[in-house]
Amino acid sequence: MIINLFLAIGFADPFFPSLGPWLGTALLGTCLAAIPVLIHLLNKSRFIQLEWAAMTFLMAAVRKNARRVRLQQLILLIIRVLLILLVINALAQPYREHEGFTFQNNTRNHKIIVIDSSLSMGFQSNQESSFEQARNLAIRILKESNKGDPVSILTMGSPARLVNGPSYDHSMVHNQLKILKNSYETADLVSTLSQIEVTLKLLGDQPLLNEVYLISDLQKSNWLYENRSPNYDKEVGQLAGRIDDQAAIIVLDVGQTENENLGVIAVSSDNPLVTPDTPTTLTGTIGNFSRKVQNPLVELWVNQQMTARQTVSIAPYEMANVRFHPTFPREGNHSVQIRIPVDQLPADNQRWMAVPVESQFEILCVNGKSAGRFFQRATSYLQTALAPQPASAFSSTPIRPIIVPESRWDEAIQNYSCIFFCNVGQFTENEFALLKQHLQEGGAIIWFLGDQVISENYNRILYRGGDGVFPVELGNRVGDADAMNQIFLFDPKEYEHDIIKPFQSEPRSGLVTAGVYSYIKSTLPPNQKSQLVLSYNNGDPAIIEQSIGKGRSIVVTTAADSTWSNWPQSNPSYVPLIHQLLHYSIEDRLQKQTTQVGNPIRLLLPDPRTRQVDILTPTGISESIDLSTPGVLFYPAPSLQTTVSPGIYRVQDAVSNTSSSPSIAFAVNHPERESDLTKLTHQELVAQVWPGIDFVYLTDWMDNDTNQKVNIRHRGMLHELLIYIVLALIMAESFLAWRFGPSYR
Amino acid sequence: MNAETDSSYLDPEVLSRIKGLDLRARLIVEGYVSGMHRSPYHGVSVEFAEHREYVPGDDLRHVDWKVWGRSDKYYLKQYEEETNLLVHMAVDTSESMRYRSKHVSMSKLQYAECVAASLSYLTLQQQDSVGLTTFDEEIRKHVRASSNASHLNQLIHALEQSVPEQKSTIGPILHTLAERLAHRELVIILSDLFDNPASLISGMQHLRHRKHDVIVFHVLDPAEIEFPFQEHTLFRGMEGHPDLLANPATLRAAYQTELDQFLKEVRKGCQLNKIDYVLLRTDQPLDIALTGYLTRRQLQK
Repeated sequence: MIINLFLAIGFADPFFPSLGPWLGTALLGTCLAAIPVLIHLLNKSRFIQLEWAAMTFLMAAVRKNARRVRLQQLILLIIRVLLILLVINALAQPYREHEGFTFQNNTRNHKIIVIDSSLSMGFQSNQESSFEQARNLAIRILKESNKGDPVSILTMGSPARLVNGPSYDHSMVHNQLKILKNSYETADLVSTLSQIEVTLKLLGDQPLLNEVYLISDLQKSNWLYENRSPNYDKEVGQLAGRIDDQAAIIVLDVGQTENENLGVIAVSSDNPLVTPDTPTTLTGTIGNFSRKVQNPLVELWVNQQMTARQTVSIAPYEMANVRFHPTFPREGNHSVQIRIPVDQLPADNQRWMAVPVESQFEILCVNGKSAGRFFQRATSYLQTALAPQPASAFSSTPIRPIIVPESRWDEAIQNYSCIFFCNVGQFTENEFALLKQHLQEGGAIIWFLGDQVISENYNRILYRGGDGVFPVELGNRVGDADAMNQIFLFDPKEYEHDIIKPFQSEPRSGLVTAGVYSYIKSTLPPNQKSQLVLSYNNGDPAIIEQSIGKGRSIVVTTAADSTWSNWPQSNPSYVPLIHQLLHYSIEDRLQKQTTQVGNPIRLLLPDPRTRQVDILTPTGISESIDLSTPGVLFYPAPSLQTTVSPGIYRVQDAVSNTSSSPSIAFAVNHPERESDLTKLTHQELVAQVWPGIDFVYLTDWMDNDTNQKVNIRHRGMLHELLIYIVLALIMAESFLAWRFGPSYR
Repeated sequence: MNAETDSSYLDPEVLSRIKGLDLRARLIVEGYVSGMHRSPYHGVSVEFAEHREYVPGDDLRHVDWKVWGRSDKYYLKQYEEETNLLVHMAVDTSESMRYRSKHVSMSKLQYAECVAASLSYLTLQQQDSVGLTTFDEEIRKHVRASSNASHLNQLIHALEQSVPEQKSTIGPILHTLAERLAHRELVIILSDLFDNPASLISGMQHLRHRKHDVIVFHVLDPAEIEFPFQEHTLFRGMEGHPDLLANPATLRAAYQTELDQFLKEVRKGCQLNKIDYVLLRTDQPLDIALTGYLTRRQLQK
């Protein structure tokens, strides 16, 4: 019995934590426990001498009692050694494992029940989802709690939320649990652990034991996802360590081992500019997270109507793209949905996309060099390349370049996805701020240089040592455009960059024959934020791009007009390269109208003066929202931190809310990493997620309903018991010393 | 010398400060006698011997009223008493008798000598004869019984000469003594009796067999009875016993059991053989010994 008790004890070891659990305490305990033994030995060597006559009786007494006396001394010695060991162990903050979910003790037990509410918990098995199992388990823990136990309920989403508590009203907690619903979010482990830590502090200094029940499917892509930062592991470890110091952690695994799943991972449009009546290519990516080949029937739904379907074959643990070529008959924001048949995890079987279809796509071109003659302007060749005039059947394009002089470009840039700056001399701080915001929100800027450009101004205002909106640091001009004594050619090298990749298969495109007489030498920042797209044959950069915020900034180090090269005027590669630059820069344009569940919708409205909008949610609820900043929509308000359902949200200016006024569609989708249901093993949990953390891991909670054998370790509990044992031993020692000792007759 | 002062001489503490065994014996007897109601100084013979002045405590029956009528003084008539008692003291002078514990003023031997001397004095005062044997493993001194008043000096001399250095074997000594004593005598044994009880009893039986009366004064030091030691002690054995290192506190109960068993055995042996047994602690007043003797003495008459 006693042996069992001691086997079930662990130690925090406050004395020498560096020596690892037990060792420090053991060392100290051994040293101190040796003291009674030493005293005993010393005592033996100290005696007085006495002549004695009645030796016969004394010898007879010794002969008959030697064994008994030795035994008594040994008992006393053991008790004294034990006393010291127990005191040391009590100081070492031992914790105790106990059996069963509930710990029958006079001290109250703060139970923090954390339910994983991520999308993957919606996986159905045996008629109920993992989330429902988790909820039932939570109710069971609640029922098995003592009446006075405070209970807190947390959901493990992104972020984690304190649903209830700490509450002493178990029936209220029970009701809360019953209405608790699964979310479409991921599970954020760091946020969950932080929230647990906060919850632990809510009851202040009350004498409580804490038990944290973490009920989760232990989805690997949440707990140990790829591409996580090194800080992530550190943070998770530190948080768990701090919780471990205050509470017993019990991980209840409700994940399924048979967890085959198909999910729609992504929807994208190959062309960022979708025009009416023109076929466009939409690609759906389907993931097969199972051990066998799957052949799902993939459907394309446009504006709630199925328009196409096709079957795709996907290898185990692979993804496959399905391409559809729908035609949108009219302008406006269309909702597109890719669907696969409903499986055990229905929430990831569809994905939406909002496709804005426009007959005209306006692009802002800022002209830095005005001139009387058309082709002497800095933007003329660019304008012609983007939209040839007059339009013909062969050159019909939705692109409408809007030419503005450099003094007026800053008036309404939020309506333009892409801005071209051609030979603009200098910028101000205010202009920089506008450009920065433009990029942050997903806009694109393409810079052409020229003889007006003041390198010093660009470097100071725009480049800012690599932290600005300009991808390179500018130097001096190279070559003399007037003398034309040097010609620099483009060197595409291996055609690695996406922008110039199409030219590789077109040897007669002229890219390598375009002659540049002059350019501004530029240097890429050392932090590798910027990527080289194309260089000159002497190795200097010709085109450089950088992703800034959600947008892109691209620099062409020569001029867009014919002053510095023969490229715009006579080279066939000019027009396609300009279009390539444009498409690449606005490639992610449609993603601006897409977000993930849990993130708020942020939308810049076409009219910056808009103060009120109506929102129609996928669940059919219409809401009217007053905008705190005119022209900028946040939904829901960031302070609410509530999640939203996936689907298409439609936003309409409330003032001009007529049936004819166009609405803006916004797609909210589930996080794609929730589709992979691969579970974390216990070993991975111990070794990689929580190394050194003491927790109980349970999987068979379901089968063993009544005779639950769960060892729950409680820190800071056993030392009390040890102190009681020490007290009892002190009394026993005193009694035995009296019984064996001098005063006994 | 009043009665209270006299009786203080019965206290070993006081006696130990007085030098000379004869003086001690006198003081003991005087102190003892003055404390009693009845004076022992009376004869039982019909033959008149002499007159003696009355002292308080004397029986008024023996006052010679005729003399009072003549001289107005109280005189007692004293009679010549027949010497009909032979007393023989057997004093153990072995090494163990030398033992004296810390808080006691006399060793067992000194105490036994005091008792022996005072009993001798008392006996001689009563015109009885006293003899003495001192012994350890063999008889060291043997003084024949005599009733001569100057015999006391001889006895005391013999007692004072004893050297407690040897082992004791009491049983065989008693056998020898039984053989040696020709007349029927009252044998008084003064010893700590640290010997085999069976051999001891056998010796006493032999004495009884030879029609001797026996009184055993068992002299023990209080420490030997109570065993009060606390500290770890190296007991150095007397009479050739080996040394022993022990924790006396833990052994007390066992030691006392052993001692009690021994005392019980000796007492039982004495009782069966009609031997008077008196346990004397060396911290007790000496009147216990005298009372023991006189009780026996009166029974005999």
